[in-house]
Amino acid sequence: MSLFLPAIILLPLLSAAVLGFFRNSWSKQLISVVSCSAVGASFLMVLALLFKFNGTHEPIHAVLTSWGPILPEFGLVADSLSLWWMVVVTGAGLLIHIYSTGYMVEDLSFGRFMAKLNFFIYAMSLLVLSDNFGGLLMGWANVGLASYMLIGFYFKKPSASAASMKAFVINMIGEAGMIAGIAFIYANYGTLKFTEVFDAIKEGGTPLFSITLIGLLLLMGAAAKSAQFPLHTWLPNAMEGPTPVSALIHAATMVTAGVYLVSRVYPIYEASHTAALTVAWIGAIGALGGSLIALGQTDIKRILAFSTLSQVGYMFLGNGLGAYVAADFHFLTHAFFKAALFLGAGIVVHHYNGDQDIRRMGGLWQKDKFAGWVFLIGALALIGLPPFAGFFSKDEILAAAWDHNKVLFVIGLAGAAMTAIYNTRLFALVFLGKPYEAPKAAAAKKGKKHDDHGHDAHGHDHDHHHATPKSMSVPVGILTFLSVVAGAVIFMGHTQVHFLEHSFEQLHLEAEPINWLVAGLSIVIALAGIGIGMLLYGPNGKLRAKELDLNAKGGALLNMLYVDQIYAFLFVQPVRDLAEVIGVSFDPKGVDGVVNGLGESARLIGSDLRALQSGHTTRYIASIFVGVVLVLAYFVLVI
Amino acid sequence: MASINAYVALASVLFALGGIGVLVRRSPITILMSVELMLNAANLLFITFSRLHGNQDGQTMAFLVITLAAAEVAIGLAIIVLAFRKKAHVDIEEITELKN
Amino acid sequence: MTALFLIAGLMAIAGVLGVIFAKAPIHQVLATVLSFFGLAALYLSLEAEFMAVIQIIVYGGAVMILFLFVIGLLSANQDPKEKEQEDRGPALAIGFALGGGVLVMLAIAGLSKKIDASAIAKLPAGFGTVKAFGAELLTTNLLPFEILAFVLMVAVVGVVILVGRQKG
Repeated sequence: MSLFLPAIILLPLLSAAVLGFFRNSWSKQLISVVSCSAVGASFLMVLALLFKFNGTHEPIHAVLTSWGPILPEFGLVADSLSLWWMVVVTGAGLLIHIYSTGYMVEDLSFGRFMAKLNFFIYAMSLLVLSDNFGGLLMGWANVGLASYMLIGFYFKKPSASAASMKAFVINMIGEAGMIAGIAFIYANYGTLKFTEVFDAIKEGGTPLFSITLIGLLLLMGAAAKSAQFPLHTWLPNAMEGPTPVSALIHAATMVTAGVYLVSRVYPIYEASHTAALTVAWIGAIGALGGSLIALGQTDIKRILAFSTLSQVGYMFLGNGLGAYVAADFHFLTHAFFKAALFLGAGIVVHHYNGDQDIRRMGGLWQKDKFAGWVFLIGALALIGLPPFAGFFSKDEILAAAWDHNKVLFVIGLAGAAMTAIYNTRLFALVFLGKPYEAPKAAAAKKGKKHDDHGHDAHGHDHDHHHATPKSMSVPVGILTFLSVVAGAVIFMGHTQVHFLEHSFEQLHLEAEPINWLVAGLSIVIALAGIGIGMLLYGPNGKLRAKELDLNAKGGALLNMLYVDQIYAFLFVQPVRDLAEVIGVSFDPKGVDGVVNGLGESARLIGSDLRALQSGHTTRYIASIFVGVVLVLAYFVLVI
Repeated sequence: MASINAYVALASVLFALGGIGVLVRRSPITILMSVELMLNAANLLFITFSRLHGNQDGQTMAFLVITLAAAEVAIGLAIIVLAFRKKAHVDIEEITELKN
Repeated sequence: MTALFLIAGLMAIAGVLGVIFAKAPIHQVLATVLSFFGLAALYLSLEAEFMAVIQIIVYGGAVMILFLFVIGLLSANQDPKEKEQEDRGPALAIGFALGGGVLVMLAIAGLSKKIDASAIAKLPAGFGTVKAFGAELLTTNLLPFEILAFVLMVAVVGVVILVGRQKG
């Protein structure tokens, strides 16, 4: 059984390598089969491990290799936390793979795309299954690399290229913090193994300041990867990638990695109240800020991106308050409904040939009932209405906030209200009302606009509506179904607590009944939010016309609260100015001066030496004689 | 028979003078003759030391040199003839094809 | 210092000086032959009979005749005499300086150790004669001898390739 552990990681990696090699020579069917079966096999092995673990509740270990004295046993572990995550990573990953075979089939770089998707699954699996900080960091970096490759999948598009670099740079900032944190861990405890580090922390003896510092440094990495404030700015740009990538990044991998990290190293945050509270506050800010910004966006994928920011914020909030199980539970349900929403958004965008602007949609319900139901259920789950999945997990987080910190609870509740409003807005603008009709004069301009949005375009006429292929509708259907039932089924049996408690032994978890006060409050707030949303943005809503005005200037919300601009002012511009100074004065006169001086002197020496290379035989003979004299002189004078 | 040192000195003088001939003259034919004279200076040394040691190997060496010099002269003169076919007037300073 | 050595040595040096300073190629050839004869006499004084004969036949005869042939061939149309040039000073200075340098170094090296007459080996009977030389050449030094024959053949073929075919 323990052989399954390395196989889970290596199969997608192997498939990525093989597909990368044969990406242009194999047929699309073969590529689809190979990539999906690699992830599918990983998923089955995860399930097998899950059943075995359920029987014994003993973590399953596998040692991969040795990193010398730093890490004598570099291994993998399947305990309840990592299995919980791996089910989602490989399960949702598999569904997204299947969806991609339908969604991307017309893309010329189909093989490259599937290879990169497989690599993403590998990286995330390594991150989750590692039993030490070294492997965690490796997986962490590989996830960053995978996201870089996939966000920049349409590398010919400058904006996609720039977005991939932005994501990579911001993740690097986080990784710098994380590496520093891991270095502190090694300096303090002399080991990188999770269990050994946590035992050492439990024993005490480490100054609280050190633990807080480690916690904050790790949080830096987690916040960057999970796109939490203030390192969230790469997330909206990451929408440059193909839609399945967005689904994968947001639902199953990458963005949630920060949540996993905090859950995994929870003894650190249990030991340091300051670090935990920072996590909670960052999460709360993200939860409210993300939903606020989502309200002002006009790009369907960006709305979903900010909703991820907001939902991951809830997970951080739960983590920071010690409700790790609630956070991991929310991760699970979120993975289902967010993947469903993103994949549904892919179907919607297909209808509009890659146009992602919700102002040019509308009335889609009549044309595509399937996408409508997917969106409706996904949105309701996201809003958190019973009996949909999001309700149970989000409610647990809010209950934890109610118990620990009323301020954070109010912020979380406000975020829930905003979530309800922006989801209603999204659904109403896309599916309700009348279809958008392009003004005749603007039609030509819009055609041009299509080229800009060309990444998902397939070259059909705008009015032509696609039939959604089975490979796309089936995964979306499964995910939608899970969005409905997963939360309730798991919550009824308190499965999340009973299963995950083995990973949180320090906490002595007990299954708690639902907090009806909190639940009632959040249901009322959500219903009110939906009502407000329908009043404002419904078919006869007061703000609908204004929203649909394509010429309207974007406010603070559309501009994502100007965080990018603030960063540009604070960091980017000073660096550019510094570069300017270096480029204009220091480089040409200083560095170039030295280099040019060297070149000039070499040229002068060369022009003198050139006389020797004249081709004049006599000069050659003369130099031979100089050599003869010198050799003779050596013999005479030295020997 | 004079002293061995006298022979060595004479060979040195001949060698140096031959070298001067190679260096200062510009007709290829003259240079070739000067090279022959330098080889003869070396031969003189071989034969001198052959006499000193009572060993005929030095003479054999000189014999090899003479034969090789004959071959070399044949080749050298052939090249000179070729050069003269190309140009009516051959000056070693004007043959600069080696630089390319 | 015997009279033979003085006369023969002076002949050799005079020949080389003639090559250096003579203007006409035919004079240079004659000076070279003079040098070769002086050297042949010196070889005789060193008990190298066969080499002396070879020196005269091969060098003084065959090689110099070859030179004469080429000179005659080339000067049929024009005079291959050197073109007088305006500024030969530096080249001459460099040439004489280098030659002088070689001479000084060789003299120091060659004369630093005085070799007594007693160091000269007693010669076996027939040393340097055709019979003794030939016996050694065709027994002890047979391989170099054969290689030499091969080299000569290559030289002949090379010459034929170089000048044998005359383009239109």
